[in-house]
Amino acid sequence: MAEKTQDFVKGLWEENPVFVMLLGMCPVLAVTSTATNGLFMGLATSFVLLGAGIVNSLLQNIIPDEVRIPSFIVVIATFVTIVDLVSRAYMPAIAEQLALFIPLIIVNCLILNRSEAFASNVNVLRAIIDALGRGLGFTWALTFLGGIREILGFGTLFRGTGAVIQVLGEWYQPMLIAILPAGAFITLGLVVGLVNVIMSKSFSIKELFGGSSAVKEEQTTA
Amino acid sequence: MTELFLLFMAASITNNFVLMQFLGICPFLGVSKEVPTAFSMGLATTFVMTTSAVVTWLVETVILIPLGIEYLRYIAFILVISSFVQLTELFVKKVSPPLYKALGIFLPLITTNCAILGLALIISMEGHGFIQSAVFGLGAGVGFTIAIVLMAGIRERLEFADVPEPLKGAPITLLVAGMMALAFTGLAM
Amino acid sequence: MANDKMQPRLILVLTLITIASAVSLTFIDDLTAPLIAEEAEKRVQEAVLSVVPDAVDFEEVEDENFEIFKALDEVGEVVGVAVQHDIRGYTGPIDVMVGLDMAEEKIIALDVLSHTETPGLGARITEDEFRDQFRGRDFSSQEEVDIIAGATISSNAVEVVVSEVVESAEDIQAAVESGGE
Repeated sequence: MAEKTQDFVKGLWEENPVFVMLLGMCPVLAVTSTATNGLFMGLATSFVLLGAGIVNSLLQNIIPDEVRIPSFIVVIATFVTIVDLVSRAYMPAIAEQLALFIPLIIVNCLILNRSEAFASNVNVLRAIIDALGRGLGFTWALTFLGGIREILGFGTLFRGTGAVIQVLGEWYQPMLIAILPAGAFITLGLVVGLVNVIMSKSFSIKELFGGSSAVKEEQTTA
Repeated sequence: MTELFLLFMAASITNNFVLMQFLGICPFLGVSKEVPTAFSMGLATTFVMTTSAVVTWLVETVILIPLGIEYLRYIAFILVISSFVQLTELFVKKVSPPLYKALGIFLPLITTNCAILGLALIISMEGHGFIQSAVFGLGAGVGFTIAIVLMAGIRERLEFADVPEPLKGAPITLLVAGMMALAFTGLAM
Repeated sequence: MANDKMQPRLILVLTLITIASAVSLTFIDDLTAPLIAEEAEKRVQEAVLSVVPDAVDFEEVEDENFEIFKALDEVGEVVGVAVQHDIRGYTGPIDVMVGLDMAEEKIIALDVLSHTETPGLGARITEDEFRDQFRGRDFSSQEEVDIIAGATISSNAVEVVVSEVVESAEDIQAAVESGGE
């Protein structure tokens, strides 16, 4: 049981696909101009991660090693096409915003990485748990980045949905750079830097929650 | 002619694949430590982009559309691109060993470069013709090379800069890329 | 590397996977294609009715250069013509619908059907402030359209695509007349 919990939790923080592993950077930068786009992209990627994880785990004894990568890519591309068709049929507005980056989930290194390094070596249950963990990790990271950029660039959260939240009032002069390509690079750079600070030896998130030696955090902020 | 020139400039500069459209970020961050390697990577990618633009255009026009199976586009494209990259590798190895030595190690990496699949998809979305596709592919490749070589040039100097500990590596590279993107945005306005 | 005995199995497995994938996608495509087509049709319908607000119905007119829609009121009178046309914007194609009042030689309104311009910059071509500049514009008007700050290319693209439609107004009118009753 502990092992399974570990599989799940790893993807959320310790081995977060975005902030720590820096996998799948293209969509991370391209679709995080709003929290809505980030969230949807995260969910779409998670679906493919889950589907490809299950199939590639089930097929591990059938697929010969020599054609492993091409087979994985075909399986991944199949699930991506499903996401693409379904989102265009049921969520056309968001699908249009993400346009090119839905098909590009195929070449998201995160998915190939999980199929190749994990799912094809373990049983289906573990593959599912791992996919859910990594998917959730990817989704929250994208939504978080999208949220920062959307608040700075528009003063809102989750625009384009029925539940737009006006975070900053009328007085706020939107910071255009946040939603421009430059803002994507700069925001991600700063957030990864911040994650490095939090992850550094003298600042342990475990200790923070465990309360054993929370004093240490002051050292890093100094 | 003017139209082709504009298409080339748009793909390489004003609408730079890497800095404006976020395509090909992995090699841009990963293979940009030194100028010579970055340049070789750029050349290899440009070659594959130009040729695969043409090949995927042919697959789409000759096979997918006549058969009415456009929904198999993604699978067809990715299979064509990965087999094409392999063929290129074999071909270069046989024809020009020196060139293979320079580009060889980068070729396998190119399959998962989303700029290649992205290029094929953009061409299909925008409905470019045969010549246009080739020019667009070449422009995109040149744009990729410009971005990665510039980045390598800056990173070579960053080696000697006093970068704060948590920003070393990926974060500072991303921040530099942000500045570059800002400059490229300026070109487009 | 693979010996000769392995080769057929490699090809067989890869082929089977590809076939399975193609079959399942054909099934999904059958399910979703009608919905996607319906959605696209709905978009066009909304756009036509928004650029010719007096219309309640419309008919498509055959033409080589443009997508032309003849906008009709309750009694079937032609109250305007909606023309769909696209152009390359900054990051990709911009698809617009222009409502034309042929009798007054004026643009009724403009709608942007789809685009992939940068959010916050080029994407502002969809905002009323920009689109309203075309409302009631004479076909012969030489007045320059106010450009969105930081989005010269997107703004110009829209101006060009609209003038392409307006310059062909006579051909469009001819197509409408010959294509109708």
